[in-house]
Amino acid sequence: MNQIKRINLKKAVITFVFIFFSVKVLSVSAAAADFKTDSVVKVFATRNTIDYINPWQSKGVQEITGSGCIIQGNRILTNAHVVNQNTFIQVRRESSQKKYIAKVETIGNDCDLATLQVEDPEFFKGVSPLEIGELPYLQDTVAVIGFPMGGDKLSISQGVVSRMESMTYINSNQRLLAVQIDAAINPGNSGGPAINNGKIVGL
Amino acid sequence: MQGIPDSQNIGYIIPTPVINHFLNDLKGGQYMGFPYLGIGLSNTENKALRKYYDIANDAGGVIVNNVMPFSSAEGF
Repeated sequence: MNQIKRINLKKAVITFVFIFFSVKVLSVSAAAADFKTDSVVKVFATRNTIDYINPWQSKGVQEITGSGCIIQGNRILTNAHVVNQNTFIQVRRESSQKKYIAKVETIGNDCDLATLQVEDPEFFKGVSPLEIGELPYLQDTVAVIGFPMGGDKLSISQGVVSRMESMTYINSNQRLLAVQIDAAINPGNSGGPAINNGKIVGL
Repeated sequence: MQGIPDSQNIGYIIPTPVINHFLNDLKGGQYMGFPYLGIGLSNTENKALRKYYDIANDAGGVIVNNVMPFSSAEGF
């Protein structure tokens, strides 16, 4: 009798452990948060915009912040409108307080993308670069990571893919494919990755 | 990426095909950008226009209004 009870108890424990772990695995994948955030960086850019109406002067020095993410090959991927017409760029990792000087490697104003390079190899120490994934499906969960307004630390908001179509990019007035999501995106999020299943699905 | 004033819960992201095109372009050393045809289009929704061009009821398509000089579409 005692033995049967013990076996039942054992079964119950195993079942409990199984349920516990399966629930845990589910919650992680459902949150789309199964990734490391250490590759997301805050971008500090100083720019001096050309005044096309008064071409003998500039619009004055502005300081703006955006986000970016480290990808393969010690590159930082960000939005072109974060770094265009810049005079000085610094980047800061999530886990660090130190800012490193960065330079624009390439800028594609038509697709609103840019890559930055940091000379100091110390900046990339211990980072796990993000991989670039596939096109998501409608209603796929995406997590948007970045450094938007309203604070200094990393912020993650989550939503789903609500629409996918070719549309005019504000930065270039050119029609390219864009994905619409319902996650909160605020000024400063620009350049930060949108992640699904641990891979970049958008920027 | 961009926003629409007075909208809510609308955010845009640049999808990976565009990112990959950009990154693959970098491998060549210089960024060449996205190609474009260089044509002006209008849709064929207007009834009078459809009648003028004699477009069948079940036909779709667009009308090419102009082709920009020296663009990719010139000469076609």
